[in-house]
Amino acid sequence: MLFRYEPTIFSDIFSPTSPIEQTYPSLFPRFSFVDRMNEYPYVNVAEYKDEIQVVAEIPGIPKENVKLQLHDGILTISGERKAPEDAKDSQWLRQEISYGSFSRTIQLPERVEAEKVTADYQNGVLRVTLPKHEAVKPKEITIR
Amino acid sequence: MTKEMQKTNYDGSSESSTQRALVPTVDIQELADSFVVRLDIPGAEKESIVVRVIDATLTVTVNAPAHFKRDAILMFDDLPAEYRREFSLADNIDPHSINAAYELGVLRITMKKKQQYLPKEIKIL
Repeated sequence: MLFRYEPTIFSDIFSPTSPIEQTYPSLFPRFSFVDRMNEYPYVNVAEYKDEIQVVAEIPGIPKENVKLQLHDGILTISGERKAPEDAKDSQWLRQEISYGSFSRTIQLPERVEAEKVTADYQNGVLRVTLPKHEAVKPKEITIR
Repeated sequence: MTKEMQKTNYDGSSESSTQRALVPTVDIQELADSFVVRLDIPGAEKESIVVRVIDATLTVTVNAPAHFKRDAILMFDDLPAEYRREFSLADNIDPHSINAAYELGVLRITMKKKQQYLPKEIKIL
């Protein structure tokens, strides 16, 4: 099943931490947190049969400057993008790229095996692979 | 330079609806003898980045793959991305001096100023 991302003007009201969503969680799709597109960095989440993948676009940041934390089903990606070194004796003609620190939390849709989480960073894209906990993995049942 | 560089020609309507067409964010800096342009293009392969100069127009086109494999059981819209941005080059740029490097998802283009536009010190005889 594929879901199409469609941002709405209600994105802020229906964030996972908003009172309305906490009161009536069943009314909202599980991935509604992805709607928070005004936050940095861009994050996309996909659920597979036995794992969850979180992808964040964080160009220009060496992996040493990125911190990943998983606590109680909440994944936090934080770090700092430093201004380029060669910016010292120059005049900025245009600056659209932001520099500084960032932090973003993502509520995971399922229980995961915290010890088996892996992450890799390539070409400015951070990919976190979180294997699902045995208890929430789909199981096939044989009919006797 | 600033004025010319800001002319970003991009017509989103002409793109096909099956592909996500994006305008990468850009930093432009002027140094004493050169310009540095930095574009955020996360998730591309070096080979898929095309930097072209035609008639004093610098065009950057990139095709980046989708982030996820298609067999996910639940995910949001995730399509291959096409990045595209155009810059008009000012007269003082030497088009033969343009260099580009891609690292950590950032494309860095450097271009030198033409010799005749560099500041010159004149000795008093």
